[in-house]
Amino acid sequence: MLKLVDFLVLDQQVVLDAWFDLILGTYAENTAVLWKKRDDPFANPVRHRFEAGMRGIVMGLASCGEAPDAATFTPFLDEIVRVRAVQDFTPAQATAFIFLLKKAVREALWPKIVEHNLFVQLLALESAIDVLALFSLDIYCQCREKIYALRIDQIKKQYDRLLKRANLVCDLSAEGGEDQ
Amino acid sequence: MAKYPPPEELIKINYTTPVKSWMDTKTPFKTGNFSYPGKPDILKYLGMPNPRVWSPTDDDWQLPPDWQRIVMEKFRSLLKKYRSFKIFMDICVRCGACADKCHFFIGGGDPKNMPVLRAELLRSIYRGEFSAAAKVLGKLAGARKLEEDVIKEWFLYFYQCTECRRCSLFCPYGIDTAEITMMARELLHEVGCNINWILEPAANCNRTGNHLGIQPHAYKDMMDFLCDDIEDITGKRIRPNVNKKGCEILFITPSGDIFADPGIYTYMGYLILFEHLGLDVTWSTYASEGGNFGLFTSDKMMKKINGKMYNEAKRLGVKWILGGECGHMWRVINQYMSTMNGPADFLETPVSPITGTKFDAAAGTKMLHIAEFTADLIKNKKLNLDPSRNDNFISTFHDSCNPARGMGLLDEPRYIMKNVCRQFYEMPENTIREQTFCCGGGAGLNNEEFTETRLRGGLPRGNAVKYVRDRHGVNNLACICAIDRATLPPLCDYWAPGVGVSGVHELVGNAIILDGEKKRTTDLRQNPLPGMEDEEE
Repeated sequence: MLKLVDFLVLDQQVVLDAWFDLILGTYAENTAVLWKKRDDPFANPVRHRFEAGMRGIVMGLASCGEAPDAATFTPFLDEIVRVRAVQDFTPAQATAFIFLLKKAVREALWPKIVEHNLFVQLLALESAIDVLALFSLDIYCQCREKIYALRIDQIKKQYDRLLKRANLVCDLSAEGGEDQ
Repeated sequence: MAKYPPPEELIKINYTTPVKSWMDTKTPFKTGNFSYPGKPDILKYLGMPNPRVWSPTDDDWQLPPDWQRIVMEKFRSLLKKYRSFKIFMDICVRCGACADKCHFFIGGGDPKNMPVLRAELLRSIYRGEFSAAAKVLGKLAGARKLEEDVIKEWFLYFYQCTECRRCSLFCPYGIDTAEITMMARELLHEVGCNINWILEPAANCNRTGNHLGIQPHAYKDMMDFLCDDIEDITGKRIRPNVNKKGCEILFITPSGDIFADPGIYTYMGYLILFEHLGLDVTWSTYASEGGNFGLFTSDKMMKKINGKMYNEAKRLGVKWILGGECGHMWRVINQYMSTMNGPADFLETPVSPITGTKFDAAAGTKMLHIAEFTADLIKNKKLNLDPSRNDNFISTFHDSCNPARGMGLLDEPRYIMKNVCRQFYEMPENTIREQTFCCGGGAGLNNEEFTETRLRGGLPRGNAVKYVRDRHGVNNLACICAIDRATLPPLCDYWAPGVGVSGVHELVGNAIILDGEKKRTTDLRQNPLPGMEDEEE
């Protein structure tokens, strides 16, 4: 007897298309039109990264059992979260895309779920998706921390050498560091 | 339990209702999407209008009382002065070819970053104020009135354009969107809305000769410091000429490379190259900046900063100028210099004293790009090179926007790369050469407060770098622009971790075998050379 995850694999394209449409619904209408249209991975990296991430997530869910692990899902979630972390979204808006997968699964697989009475499995799948939301939150925070670290690094790199030359800071790690 | 909206509501998915017209969408300012405004003392120094302390997040931007008249008068005078501007305002048919070519749009998805719509921010006012028919028809004809919100919108979006001109490449009419941004910025200057990262470097450059305001003795001091490092690495002491009269060549490069990591290694590369050739060349502390932040300020400032280089060439009595790895210096040289300060008839057309090659393409400006100079040396087998010293680098090449699209310098840097490195891989075709993606930091946007938006705009470049990293193990992104060297390291760190950034002449400096040098155990960054990991030092 086929399980929900089997349908997830068999009908993955339908689920992915529904999910992609829902995610693009979080962008401006004109933008969504252009991003749906163009499929060159280098001319349209957002779509490319999203599709790669989404496919990995759906396939991962089909094979992970009840407890998704961070090591498997982080690279796929990262493809999407890293982009949304720099796109003017609030933290909730940036990571909520993962919940849209629930909606996409229900929309795409509802007849099969009813026909084969897969409601218990659907609950399990949705719980797994909730776990992915928590992973996404971790990745989001790492991305934001990275942005702030990069800002600080940039300031340091710009003035570091000048400050050292002006003897305004001393580098104790350097050979024969000038003590002040 | 607290009621929290469901996810769909939270991210405001709107399945049915049409979106608001762009004209009715208010401009959002938040930390990370704008650059800090020009400081009052800098504006005063430059003699620019409306100096004051303000922030884009303020409700009241303290515009002058008659700001509308001021802006419209300037608009009128720019249309009169530049026929190109008037044509660019009139001929766009909104075909959309440029719409998805801007890196800020590709990475962020804000429709106002589509070049066509960004230009429309200006065109709508042009129609609303200068076209009688459109004045009457109003919004129907895409026209609107000049209100304070328009100024805010201009400030946000014209300072979210790096003037990289990728969109112009795809425009069937050849509309130069960078010039539209320049015009918009000139209008904004009139009411005192500008960014400090451009004006302070321009003021510094005006006063001391470079962006950071490094004074001559400090510049020389930094140079000696780098010569110390070269001596440690190669065992040879280099004594470069500074402000020396009567040399054959004046060398000018961005000042960013003398103090900022990783630009300093490129700077060391130049020093090693000139030493290797015994070139009759001098550096200058007065023309110690190639970059021209006047390009992002006004035509007057651009002319003045560009003129400084030529005045120095005259004062020192050189025959021609050699220019280093710089971005917008070359756009100014190649596209504006001849009609601005040129022709530089007191100089001679550059001839390589080593190979005898005459560079006729530089006959107008008398200024030669170092990539052309070095490629010619390699072609004529005048360099003693050991490319294996760069074997720790698996490199790719980022075409910097201005040399690529502003002067067509595409093959020379690649030719050099292939001769000084043994592992070189290109990024995908539609991300290099003329179609190169900007680093996100051009036109004065390489400041730290803009990091988040710059990373957003850096996605297309980062995505291509990640591709060659994963496919070929690329760990080094070489480039020929100082702004690239400042902005690409964080970009790579975010989008393609593990890939570092270098200048092309850093790799040249690694590969050159100087006469009488000691056995090198490290590269210019003082990292061990391949196979030298266990050597002392």
